[in-house]
Amino acid sequence: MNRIVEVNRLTKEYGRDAAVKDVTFAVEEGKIYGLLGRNGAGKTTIMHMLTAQLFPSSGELKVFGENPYENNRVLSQLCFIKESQRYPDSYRVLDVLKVAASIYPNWDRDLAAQLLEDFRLPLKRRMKKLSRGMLSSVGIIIGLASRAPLTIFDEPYLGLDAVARSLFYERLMQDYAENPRTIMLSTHLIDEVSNMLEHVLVIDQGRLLIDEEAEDLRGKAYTVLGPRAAVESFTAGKNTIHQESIGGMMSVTLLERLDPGDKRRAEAQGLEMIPISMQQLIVHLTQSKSNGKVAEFQ
Amino acid sequence: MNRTAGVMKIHWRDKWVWMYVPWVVMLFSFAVNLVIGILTRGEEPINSGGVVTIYVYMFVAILIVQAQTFPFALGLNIRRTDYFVGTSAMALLVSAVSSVLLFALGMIEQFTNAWGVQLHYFHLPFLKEVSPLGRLGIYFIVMIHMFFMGFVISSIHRRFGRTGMFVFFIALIVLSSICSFAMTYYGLWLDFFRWIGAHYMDLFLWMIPLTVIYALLSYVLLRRATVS
Repeated sequence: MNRIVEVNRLTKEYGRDAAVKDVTFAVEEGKIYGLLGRNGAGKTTIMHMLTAQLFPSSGELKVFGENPYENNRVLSQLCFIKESQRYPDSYRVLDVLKVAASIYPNWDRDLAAQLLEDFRLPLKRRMKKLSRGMLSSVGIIIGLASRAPLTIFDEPYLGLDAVARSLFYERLMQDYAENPRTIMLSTHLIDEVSNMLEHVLVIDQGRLLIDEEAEDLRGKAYTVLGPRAAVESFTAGKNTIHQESIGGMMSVTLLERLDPGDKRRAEAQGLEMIPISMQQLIVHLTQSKSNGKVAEFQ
Repeated sequence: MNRTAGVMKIHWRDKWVWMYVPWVVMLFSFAVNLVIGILTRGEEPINSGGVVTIYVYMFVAILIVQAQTFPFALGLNIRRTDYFVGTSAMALLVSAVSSVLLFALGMIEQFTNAWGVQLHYFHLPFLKEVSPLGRLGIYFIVMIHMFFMGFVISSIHRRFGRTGMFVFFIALIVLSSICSFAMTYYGLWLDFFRWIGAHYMDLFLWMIPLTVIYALLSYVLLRRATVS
């Protein structure tokens, strides 16, 4: 597989604080990536650095094999839709789309027109007067119609209603199937997108926690539920990411591939094995460590 | 598509800020002066400085334009270099058009005998000696000089933020205080104004290298500017 993004020990510091610390990963061509994590985890900072809008403090960064900084060969293949994008005050929706059409080399006029209708955007309205959801729709239209080989969406649907969101997923998947490209998606609504994601990167407090195929990750995360003693003996020595107990019952969440033998053993001991959703998994992983300790003491 | 042209397109969508606003303001001021001239039947000569507004506006325009379009352009993955070149090209174009218009209005003023009411608005008395081509050149040079002066300041703000602005203006104030003190101390003020009175034409020429320096500084600053 062709690697279109290579990031090596990427770090971004603001004074003494590190927003991103020693992050290393690669992005392969033609897949949908999810960049997940809590607010302030460093997702947006990473995306800003990938698109050369921010400068790394240290580390290596290659996009399409080259440094993206002031490099049109790289930048012309990118489209970065961010929640914090600002527009000139006098611009109307129409102006933004006209400019985007002249700047993105692969711009699809028909698709843009179709999306405009789907999202019911008022063409003549000023960007300043748009609601949060409409503003997000403009970003989504640009992100999809630009057909950039690497499209990055950062919280693309803030303020969008459920109908518009499912419209976005539908259009994204449809267009992705017809025009394969690489998509990086950062979002809080993990459950909604978890089925689309092919690869998951989880960032917490500036560090990369998980870099795995979504399929593998889904098959690895389980909650084991049953009587305390049985659960404890079964999960001993395994990679535990969360535990809770109520009375004599205990539930432990594991992140580890279990072999069939393990599963049989669990069944024989009357333990229940429940696969957990990606959202739950990420909540467990990124809950602050101190909380985890409090839970242990209980 | 060429990305510098893309930047110019971004600016061109904002024709109001670039072209219409300064001209509407200045022509309005001209109209007021003209009405006064007509009401006084041209008995008193009016030497209006109204044409200065368009020059001050050029300085202000880039402050507004850069604050709004730089984050937008970078958001569309435009290179900083392309932004700089496209914006400068737009400024040269707008300055050229405005200078030609000012020049043409000055000519009309000359031929209509100061609009028939002794209103000297576009044809400035101190440029009487200058050839028409020289006058056109001066209009243009002063305008792009104003533009790039604003460009440097907005680029300092872009690159170093509010703190940078603060430091810059403190330094500027301290420096000009020292200069002004030295001038007073050595009794040079009169000589200074005498020199200006005799050499003001040279000042226009000096604006050319100054403008080049402003432009280079703006470029260097923008190359390291970020958006979030």
